[in-house]
Amino acid sequence: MKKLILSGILLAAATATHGQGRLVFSNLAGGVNAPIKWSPTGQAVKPPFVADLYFSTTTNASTDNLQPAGFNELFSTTTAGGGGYFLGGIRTMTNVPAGVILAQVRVWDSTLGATFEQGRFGPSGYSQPFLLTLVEPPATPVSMAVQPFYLLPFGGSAADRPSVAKQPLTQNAPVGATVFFGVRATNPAYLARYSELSYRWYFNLTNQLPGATGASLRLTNVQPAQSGGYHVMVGNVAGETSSQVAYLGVVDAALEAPLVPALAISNGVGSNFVLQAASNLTALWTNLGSLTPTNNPQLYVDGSATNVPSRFYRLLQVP
Amino acid sequence: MRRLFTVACLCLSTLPGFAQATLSFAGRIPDVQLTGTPGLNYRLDYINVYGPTNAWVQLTTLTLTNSFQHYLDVSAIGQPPRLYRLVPAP
Repeated sequence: MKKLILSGILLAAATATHGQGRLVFSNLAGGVNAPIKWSPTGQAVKPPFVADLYFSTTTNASTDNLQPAGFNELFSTTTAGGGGYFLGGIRTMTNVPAGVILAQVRVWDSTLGATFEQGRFGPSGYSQPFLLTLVEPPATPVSMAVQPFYLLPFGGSAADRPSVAKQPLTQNAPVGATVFFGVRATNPAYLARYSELSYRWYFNLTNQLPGATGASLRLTNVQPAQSGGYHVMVGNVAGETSSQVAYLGVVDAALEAPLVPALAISNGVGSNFVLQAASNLTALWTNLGSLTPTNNPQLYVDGSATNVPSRFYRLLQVP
Repeated sequence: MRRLFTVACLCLSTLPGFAQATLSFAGRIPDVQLTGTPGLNYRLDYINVYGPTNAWVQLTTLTLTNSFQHYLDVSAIGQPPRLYRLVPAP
């Protein structure tokens, strides 16, 4: 069964019933000139308001109710007594095209006697424009009253965005290896059936990786220049959530630790010495270096002895 | 391979003007030789071969300035044999 699914800003569906036709806007006690706010709890506002929902399509819709861009179309209203909400389904949307639709809510206080037909007089307020995203167009004319739909804040509250259940993990890999990062994210339960998740992977915070749009990121033949931070932005109709940053260290380093002799020179502080070494006692002595101890004892590490089987040492005092 | 190092001690302390310096063998220390890409940062850890597992101790952090570099672990004198590892650092 095909569903009509709308997402946008500033309006919410009654959450408990998966949006069985009731939309609730809210500027509550702020009056008609107050900003209209996202109202996830679905409470009605007072005094009774009348609301218009205007569409300005960005797609070439040629229907009774959705018109080409720039055309304002009254979507639905309630009259006084509606309690500050309007009911979806008052207008039937037929042959609705897929795509993004720009919409705006106009609301005024019905207690002042203003109605749409009477000239739109009286104080009124307009919401910020918001986007309605039609995920899948209906195959047949659809009455909004009987179809589940959602109008959600675009970039709305964190509760509407995906949550990351499993973060990508920091790891090290040798040069040339294949590396995977993965994330597991979920939609809020009420959106689970209606909004797919999107993924955008980034390197070092700002560099979006082309083509990396899945729940996992695969890097082949990694090189040291790819060492750094990786994270993913997980999105749904309400906005994006960032994962934690995982770090990749591409290791191209090698490590060896042969043992070399360390010599201690005692009681020589302030005197000048030459340290010499020889492979045997009949060979010529070779200068290893001149030194003037500043500590007692003074340590001297013979790093040149890495590849010699044995070595004799002597210390000569010089002027 | 086992290597033998012998220290010859020449004592001239009885002669006037000479320091009473002595030369002795302090021990063998690891000459940790690092090969890597200059400019990258690493953390050098060690662990005693006799002791708890996964008890790595940070020895130093360093940025390679050459593709081949030495680090003389003088702190290993008189200590049990050590294992070393390099960990990439941010």
